[in-house]
Amino acid sequence: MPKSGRVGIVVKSCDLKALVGLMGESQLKREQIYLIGIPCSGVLASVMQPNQHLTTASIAAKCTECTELIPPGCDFTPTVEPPAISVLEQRYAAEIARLEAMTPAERWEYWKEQFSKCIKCYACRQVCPFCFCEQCLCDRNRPQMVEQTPRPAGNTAWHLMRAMHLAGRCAGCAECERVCPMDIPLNLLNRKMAKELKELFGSEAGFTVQDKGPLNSYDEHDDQSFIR
Amino acid sequence: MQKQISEANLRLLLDSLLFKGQRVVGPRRTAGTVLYEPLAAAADLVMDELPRRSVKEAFFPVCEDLLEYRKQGQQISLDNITPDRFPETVLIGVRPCDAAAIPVLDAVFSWDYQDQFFLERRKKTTIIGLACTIADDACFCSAVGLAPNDPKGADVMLTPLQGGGFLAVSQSEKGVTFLSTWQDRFTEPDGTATQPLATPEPKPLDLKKIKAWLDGHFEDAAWDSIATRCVGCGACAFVCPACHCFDIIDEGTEKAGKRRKFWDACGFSKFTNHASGHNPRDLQPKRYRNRIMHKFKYYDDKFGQTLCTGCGRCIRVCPVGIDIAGVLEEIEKK
Repeated sequence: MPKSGRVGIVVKSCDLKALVGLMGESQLKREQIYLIGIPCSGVLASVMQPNQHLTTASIAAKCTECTELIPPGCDFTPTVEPPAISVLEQRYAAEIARLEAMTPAERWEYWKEQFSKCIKCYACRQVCPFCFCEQCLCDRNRPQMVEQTPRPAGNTAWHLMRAMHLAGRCAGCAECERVCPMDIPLNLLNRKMAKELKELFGSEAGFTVQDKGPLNSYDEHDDQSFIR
Repeated sequence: MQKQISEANLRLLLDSLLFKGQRVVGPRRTAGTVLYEPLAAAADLVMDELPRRSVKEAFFPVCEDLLEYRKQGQQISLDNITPDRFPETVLIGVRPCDAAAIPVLDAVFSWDYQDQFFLERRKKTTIIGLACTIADDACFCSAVGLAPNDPKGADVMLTPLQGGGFLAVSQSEKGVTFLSTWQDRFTEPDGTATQPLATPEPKPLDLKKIKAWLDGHFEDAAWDSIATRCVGCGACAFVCPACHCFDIIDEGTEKAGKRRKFWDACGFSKFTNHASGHNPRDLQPKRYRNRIMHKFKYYDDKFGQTLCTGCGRCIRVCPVGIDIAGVLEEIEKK
């Protein structure tokens, strides 16, 4: 933070959701920042071809499901024509439907193969707006909490832990998936968890600061039918 | 020894090797990503895409067991993993930027300690290189003294021919043995021209000049401007064919477990964290500085070699777009 004044941050809607989430978790105060909202009709899936135009083929998967093209509630948003919305195939929804139709054994095979590629570079952790623990559980060695080696057990533990810690918090920026050098569809896990949270608790990442996420709070009226 | 082989015959040769029970490793698609992995059939071999991870894992795996321990009462038993169990392997489809890194790694793995795990695999592997006919924006082998058809590190070098097939040139004793053993599959070269090679854009870098600057600028404001944005993941080191740092850890329970060796990276904040809590590389630019220093100064000081082959993988995977070729160009201009 600067010695005085606010920090200006240029945001798309997905960036803003992440900042709102951080405000809810007391990591950031609204008055510390000056938000410059960018109307956005999508970003490229890959940054390796900077000269590429945005097409239905080159657009990032996360943008196919985004409906908030102008981030609301910013301090400054340039007045421009709202970007044209074209209805795209919702790639995560389609993939989640495909995986949900599988048997648990088939689904496990799918994720096992994906996680087998993981090399524990932790790029997903380093870029995640919500990975702000001072010490990641994965780095603890006294005692060791999670196998540190990039092997099936440790990889699975890391990815499940990651998915659970992000459930109800993930803003859908999909940076984890963008940076994964092994092309593991990490945001697919996040979207599946977001879907569960929405169905179970009616909660999803948005533009209103909430004190506590559904998995961080307890209410005696919570649905407990799953306890048998 | 110079020979020629059609792609069909090359795949037949690989299938014959596999049929004989020989281990064959090459670029193969796994869950959508091309990696150097054991092939189940010659049809698995992908010849038009640079694997996402480098070839180093054929000699220095992502993770491997060193020993196994068991405790019964007061008795502790140890089982050593002996490197003589590593099978003879044919490693095929190795790009010049990958093959060239292997002799570079020989220096460190046979320096003050003979790393049997690396050296035994090395001894038992025949490396078949493949020249490149396409380059992308990140390729810069030609900037660090290599070329899209550089045979360094290969035992046999394949160069694609116009109209299909490959020219096969032996580069070592192992290569001659391979070509002689499988001579039925090869023919004598018929003079067909090779395909035009890839032309990576970056101009050759003056590595001596870069090293001279590094020699005198351990402390320099440039490190901050180059690497403040580095997020401290290990992606660049893990996809690099030449990065070779590893950690060793015991995993298991009090009763039984394994000692394992696995890749580590100098970009991680914990890499130099002392038991006391002191960390000499406490900020990210100091860690990135180590990456550059190790590749272009320390390794040169110690072994007279550069720890970079210009494969461009770190440029492709960096979450924040740090371009090592650009960093070197910047240093060269100083």
